Amino acid sequence: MNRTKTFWRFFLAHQDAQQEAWLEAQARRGWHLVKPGIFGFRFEAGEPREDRYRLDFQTTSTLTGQARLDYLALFRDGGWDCLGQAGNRCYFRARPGALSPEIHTDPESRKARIRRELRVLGAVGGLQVWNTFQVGARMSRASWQEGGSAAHRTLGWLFPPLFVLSALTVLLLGWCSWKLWRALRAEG
Amino acid sequence: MAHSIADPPTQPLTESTFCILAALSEPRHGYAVMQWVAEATAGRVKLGPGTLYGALTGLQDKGLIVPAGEREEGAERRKVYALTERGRSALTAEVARLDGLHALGLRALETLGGGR
Repeated sequence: MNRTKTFWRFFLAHQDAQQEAWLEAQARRGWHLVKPGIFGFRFEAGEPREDRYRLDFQTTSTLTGQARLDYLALFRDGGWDCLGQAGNRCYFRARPGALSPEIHTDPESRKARIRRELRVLGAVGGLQVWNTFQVGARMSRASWQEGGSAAHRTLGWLFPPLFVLSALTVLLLGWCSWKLWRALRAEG
Repeated sequence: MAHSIADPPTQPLTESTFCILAALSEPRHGYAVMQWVAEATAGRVKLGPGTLYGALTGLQDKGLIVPAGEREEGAERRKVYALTERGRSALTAEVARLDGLHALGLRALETLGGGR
């Protein structure tokens, strides 16, 4: 029976290259990815190998129904096996003799991939900004209104840490977007 | 969306797009397009599956290619694509543009005394 192990690791949205390098380093140590996740990656023990991993970010419409089958069939035909997906990010490993050494072979498709990710980050970031304002508004209402509702009196202490957490998430999303935007500019 | 043949894309085609349209001079599935392009360019252009998928989707959206059924090969069913009239005219326009550039380049080389 093959030995499996889960490694806990988190990568930010703009860190696909680091993630690929980390997966390739695990393969050289004899740990081969069998199931990716947002935080946990399941690996199977085996012989050390020089594997090539690549990540692709796709829209939800590509990752559902017939479009997903067509998408994965092209990768399989090109010599890239899909190991699973985490969110909208698909994980591929090249088989020996894959038709191309990369999954994106021109600047236009690399830029399109970054733009897809930026659009998703923009939507999530927008929601998070709105959420931060909501929490901030409730927090200031709770602190300035004497008495307030029973819910405010009981749960009011939750707003400051929630506000800080929410604001930090906005900053983090902004940081990732900025790094991706720089990567987009670097493609020309 | 219907496209007129009179309005081919005005932007020059990218190398990948040009190669894909050329490969679809006869109906082919994605895998055959990858193989044809690699062979026709002696391995210089290798289309990655991510690039090919995006290009096929974009070309369908622009009305330059259409799905033309499926082909069964062993256990695999592969979607076949074909050029539309608009795709043919885009390819023709691009070849004419490249011809013009080629002639211009040859003239420049002759002037430099390094013509072939």
